[in-house]
Amino acid sequence: MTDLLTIRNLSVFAGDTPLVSNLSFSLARGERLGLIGESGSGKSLTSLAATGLLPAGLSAKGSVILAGQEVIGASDRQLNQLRGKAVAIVFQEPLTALDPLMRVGKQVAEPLRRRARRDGRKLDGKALEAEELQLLNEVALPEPQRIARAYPHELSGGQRQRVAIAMALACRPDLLIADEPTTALDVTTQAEILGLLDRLVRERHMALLFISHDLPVVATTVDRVVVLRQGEAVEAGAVADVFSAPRHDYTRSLLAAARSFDRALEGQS
Amino acid sequence: MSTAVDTAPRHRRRHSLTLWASLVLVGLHVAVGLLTLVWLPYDPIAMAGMRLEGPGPLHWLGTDRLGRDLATQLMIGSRIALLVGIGAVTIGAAIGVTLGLLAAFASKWLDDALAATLDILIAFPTLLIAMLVVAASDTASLWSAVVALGVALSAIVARLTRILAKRVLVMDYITAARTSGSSWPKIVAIHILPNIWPTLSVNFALQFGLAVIAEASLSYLGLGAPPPNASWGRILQEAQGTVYTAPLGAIAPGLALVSLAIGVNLLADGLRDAIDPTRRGR
Repeated sequence: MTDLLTIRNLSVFAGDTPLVSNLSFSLARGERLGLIGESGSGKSLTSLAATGLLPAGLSAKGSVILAGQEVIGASDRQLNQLRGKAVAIVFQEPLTALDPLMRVGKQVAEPLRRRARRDGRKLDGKALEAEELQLLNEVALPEPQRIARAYPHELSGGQRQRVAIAMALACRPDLLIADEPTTALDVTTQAEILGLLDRLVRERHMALLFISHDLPVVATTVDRVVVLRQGEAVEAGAVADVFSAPRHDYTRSLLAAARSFDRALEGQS
Repeated sequence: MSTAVDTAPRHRRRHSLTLWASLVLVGLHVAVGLLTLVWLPYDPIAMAGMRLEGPGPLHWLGTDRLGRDLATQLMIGSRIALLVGIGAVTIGAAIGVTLGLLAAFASKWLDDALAATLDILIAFPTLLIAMLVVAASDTASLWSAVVALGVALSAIVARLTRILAKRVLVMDYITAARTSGSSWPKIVAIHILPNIWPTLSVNFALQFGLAVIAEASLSYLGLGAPPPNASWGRILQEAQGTVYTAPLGAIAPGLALVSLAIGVNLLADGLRDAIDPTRRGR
């Protein structure tokens, strides 16, 4: 199976300070990889580097091959062809992931229109609206018509995250990057969104790069994990192996922290 | 009575009251300004009556020290003020928004250079810059004043645009749009401009008021539009010598100036609430 995303010896620098060092992993269609580590360990930077969207002032070295194209050093023009088609990102904070002044329907329509143009299809207003509603329906939003006319601030956090997922899916990406997609949500909504992601990734046979610091969430969502610490991969492997027999102290401490947190919760109830 | 339930609609009514008041004030000036294009009570530069006549049925606001009809001059003043405001804000917005967006996207070096230049420009009082530009042109005309004010205002617009655009640029929805393959021009058009517009438009209205007042000051100093297109500032200056015998000559243009400035400021407030859906109905 050819890999969709191959990262080799990726390093990200702020000036001379390395934020991510010598990271390597690869991901094929249908695979699910978790990138875990505490905040500041370079998880999100890795996902931004993979799409060529590093903020100004940061530079990347090494190699990122996305759908056969080298990302590092590629021009924005080349990357724009690739983005959307090959990859889409769902962000952590559903409030800032949507344009506050644009109706939800219009926001979802933007990537849909772009995809239609990419595929050389003509899309009139009616067909566009139909696809819009179908997409909102697919992410299990109730009353898609009403939601399409709403502004983001009129929706709940969970609904907003569903809209963000719908927008990411609108481009029919081969790889979906989910950057802590459930962190800003309450536990019940979390489970629903995870279920939704799980179903969509399976149905569309996408690859999933799941970024999180929440170990239980990672364990239920992905097949393989890479554990990051201060920008370095300290451990990698199948979820079951890494979580049941961690080889690195850092992984052990993360697991211990998660367990003691669970125990504390049980102790209270 | 004072429960949360019934305060909400009352609040809304206050907002629409603001909008209505501003529409009346600004609308009055616009109507008068348009009217002067087709009809005037008297010839603005001819002696229409005795000198310094009081208000009466023939001369609603009386006459000035040369016997010219004051109401006629005020009406022309409305037109001049609106032209100055629209002209200066349009020039200021065109230059300012372009520079501001450029700075927001620029490399750090260029951004710093632009920011420093703008800071220096802002540090100069608007009026001083305008006086310099007018003094540098051969003859004082309305348009030299408008261009001067537009340039002076553009520095503030640029600064504001830069910071507003930078704030929007770091939002996830911009990154999301980039991930889905949107080009920068498209992102500016559909995400950045609409999101900075509510704040910018309020600023434009404030600057409209500023420009009108600044032009009146220039005219007061003899650097504005020459007669017969008298602006309120010139009327004020000419009435200064006779302010004790005919106070209306100074009060009337002052009131006209203030009513237009307040009108556009209130309009800005009302419009922002109407434009921004997150503030609607609050």
